[in-house]
Amino acid sequence: MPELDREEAKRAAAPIVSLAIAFIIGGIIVALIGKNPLDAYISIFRGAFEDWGFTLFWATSLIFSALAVAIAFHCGLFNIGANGQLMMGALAATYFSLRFSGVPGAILMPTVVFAALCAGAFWGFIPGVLKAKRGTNEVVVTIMMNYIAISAVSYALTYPMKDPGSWIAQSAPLPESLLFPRIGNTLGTDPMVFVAILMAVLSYIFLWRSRMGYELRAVGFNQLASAHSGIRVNRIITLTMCLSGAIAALSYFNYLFAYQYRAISDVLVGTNVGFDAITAALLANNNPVMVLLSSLLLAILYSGGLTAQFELGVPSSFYLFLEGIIIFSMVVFSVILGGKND
Amino acid sequence: MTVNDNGITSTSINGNAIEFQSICKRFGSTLANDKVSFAVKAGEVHAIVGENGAGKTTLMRILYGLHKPDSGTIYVRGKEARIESPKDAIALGIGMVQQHFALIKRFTVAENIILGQEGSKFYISREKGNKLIAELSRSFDLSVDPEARIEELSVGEQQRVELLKVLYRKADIIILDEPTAVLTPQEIESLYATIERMKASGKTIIFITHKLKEVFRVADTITVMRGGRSIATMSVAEVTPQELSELIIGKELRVRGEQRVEPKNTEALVVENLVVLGERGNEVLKGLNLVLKENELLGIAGVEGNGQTELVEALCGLRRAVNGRIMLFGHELTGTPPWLLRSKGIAHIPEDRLSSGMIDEFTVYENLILGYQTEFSRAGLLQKNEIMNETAKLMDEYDIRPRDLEVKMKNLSGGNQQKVVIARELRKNPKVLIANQPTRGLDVGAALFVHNKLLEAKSKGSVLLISSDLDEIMELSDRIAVIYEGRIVGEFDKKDKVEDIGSAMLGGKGEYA
Ligand SMILES: Nc1ncnc2c1ncn2[C@@H]1O[C@H](COP(=O)(O)OP(=O)(O)OP(=O)(O)O)[C@@H](O)[C@H]1O
Ligand SMILES: [Mg+2]
Repeated sequence: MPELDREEAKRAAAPIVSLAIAFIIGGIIVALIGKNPLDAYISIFRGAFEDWGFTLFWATSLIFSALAVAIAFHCGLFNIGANGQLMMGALAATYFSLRFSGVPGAILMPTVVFAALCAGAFWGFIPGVLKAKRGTNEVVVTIMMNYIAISAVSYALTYPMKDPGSWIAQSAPLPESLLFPRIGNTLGTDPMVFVAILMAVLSYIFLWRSRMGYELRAVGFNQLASAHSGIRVNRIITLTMCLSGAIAALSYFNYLFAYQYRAISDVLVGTNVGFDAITAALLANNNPVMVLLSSLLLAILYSGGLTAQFELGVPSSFYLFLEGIIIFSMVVFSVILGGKND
Repeated sequence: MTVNDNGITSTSINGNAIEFQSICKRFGSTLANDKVSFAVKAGEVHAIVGENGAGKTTLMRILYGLHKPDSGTIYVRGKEARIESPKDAIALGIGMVQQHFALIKRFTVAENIILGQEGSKFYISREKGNKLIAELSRSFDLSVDPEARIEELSVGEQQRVELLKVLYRKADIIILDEPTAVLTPQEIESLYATIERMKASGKTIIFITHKLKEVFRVADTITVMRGGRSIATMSVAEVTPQELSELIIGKELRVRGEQRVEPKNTEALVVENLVVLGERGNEVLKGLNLVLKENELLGIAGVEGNGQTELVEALCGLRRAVNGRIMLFGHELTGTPPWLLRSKGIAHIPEDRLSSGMIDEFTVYENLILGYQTEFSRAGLLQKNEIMNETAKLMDEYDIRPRDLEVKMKNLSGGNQQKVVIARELRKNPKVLIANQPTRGLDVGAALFVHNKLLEAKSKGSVLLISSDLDEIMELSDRIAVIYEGRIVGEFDKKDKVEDIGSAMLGGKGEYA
């Protein structure tokens, strides 16, 4: 096989091999705790399939954040802050929904979406502009922004935005006019899944067909050459982080409008979607269309994992365990591939 | 038969250090090496020459274990060798200095040399290592401070570190891939001295170059490659430079178009009293004055490090002027950001294509629109058809090989990458072209082509040519300005004597090498 193809093939094979490794090691662990690994995996996939509504629901959240991580990555930025960005998006969406609850849904929903996009973009803007102007490491800043988001959300839902009639820190119920219909069985999914798919396609077109996508990738590969060619590197970095944050901000919409019908502080603050998204983006080699598949796969492991726990007593942390091994093998792979690339 | 201290036999029975037998290597649809066969005698300096994309680098990477040949055999000192990785090559006493150095910037010279040394012990005493390095430096004429960090060193010094690394690993067959392309004339002289020393100590040297002058200066034997094949191996005494260049490009070298446009009197670019600071905050340009006329090709001659880099960066909007101004046809340009300069008609061929002229993970067509992406988009979307048409046209005009629009830039040969950069910068007929070492890495034919292109660019605009190759400057320039310690210290006509220019380059204080 020609060398050129071999290298590309290796890159493409990395996710599959990593998954295989994760499944094998996972299986060994299941065997060690005295269960039949095959049964466990069957239970996971059957469970995820039977609860397909919930599986898709979970994948939907993941897709938005994973796209956010993937796009930032193409610009050479590691956005660990999707979690904070989605929290701020959710908070802004809740606030606007309740504040203008009298406005008809057809007008209110776009406003709410816009508010969420702005909030997420702002949460991306800060690490972006610090990176562009001061060279501050975006990883550190986005992590800090995550903590600030947690405080902001718990404060807002404990005090100013708290439902007065409630015992716990949560907002008032969201207006009926905004709620999404449910699709599917059990918990069910909602129309956001289509928005997520559309977003993935748009991201793909954006990255490989648009001028800004071109500039963003140029900056990601070689800042100096980009600057020489007249690309406004600082602006691209800042804009990319804004865009990334804005996309992440949509991750929690299905929780708000199709599941909990209000913002519940403990649940919102406890979300981990923005971190699982990193695994999804990594598995997809940051390709937006592949993000659909990797998010779905992680959603299957998560939703089916609950079934396996229920049926066989496989601990729910099994999901985290698999995720950890996937990340680990992907990183090992990229080091090996990177090392050969002299 | 002699055996050196690490037990490697340095001459084999038939006296060949390396013998290639029918080496083939294919990349996709490109046959990079096509039944290459020739031998390198032990203890000789063997030059490999040939067109851009002829397969020279590929062959050397195969010898060093970085590529696996599809077929063919390599004999090292008469024995069939299986070289799967650089580790195997090093074990066989083969070392290679690649075109892009593989040094860790934050580490010191000594750390770089000692680290990664095959079979090194866990802990190496600093004194012992430094002592060995000092010894090697002395015996091979490679002066460099072992305690200096790589990031503080010039390109020439970094190359010496690479050479020391190879020598430290006791290589006695040493491959140099276009070692002089990035060096100043002075550094080239000192590299020649090192090569002589290495040869004198019985080492075999294989080196790739496009400069025929060098071949006749240091080589014993020459192998010519063309289209992936080795077409001739001969001793230097058997061939004249003219014959050699015809062998390389497979036809007679066309002479330069001699009708030159005379410069007009209009001032295209004026630099007045320009003061610019360097990395450490010191004044690097100390009030530089310069006038470039319309239809003029002005050559900037000077020893590297006298402010050329900073001048170019200031002209391209990448470095701030603390004083003075830059004017383009009477309009102030000082402080204009780089993204505006292009639309004003300033183009720039950067000195180091890899770091600042191209994006190696992008395809050729993506690189050909770099900086002009706005022109090729409508409503924010890139117009792929237009881009592809333009790319196909440019690849034909500039003979960029292989003729594959979607090939990644990093998979082009060095010279073909350079052609991409030049094609892109010349496409729009810039008002002012700043050409910094434009023929770096080009074969004789391509260099001539680019020279003609520069003359054409001058007839449509004006050109500022910066080059460490004084011959190139003398040939092309209407006028030559000598830069020294951040100022233009003299202006010359091409009828002036090279010695006078050389002396001005040293601040009038001595003889130019
Ligand atoms: N990794 C690779 N993948 C695909 N094609 C490659 C790769 N490396 C080299 N090639 C192709 O093989 C051919 C020979 O390239 P090589 O770098 O050996 O040329 P060269 O003789 O060193 O040229 P130059 O003088 O320009 O450096 C070129 O057409 C090049 O595009
Ligand atoms: Mg080469």
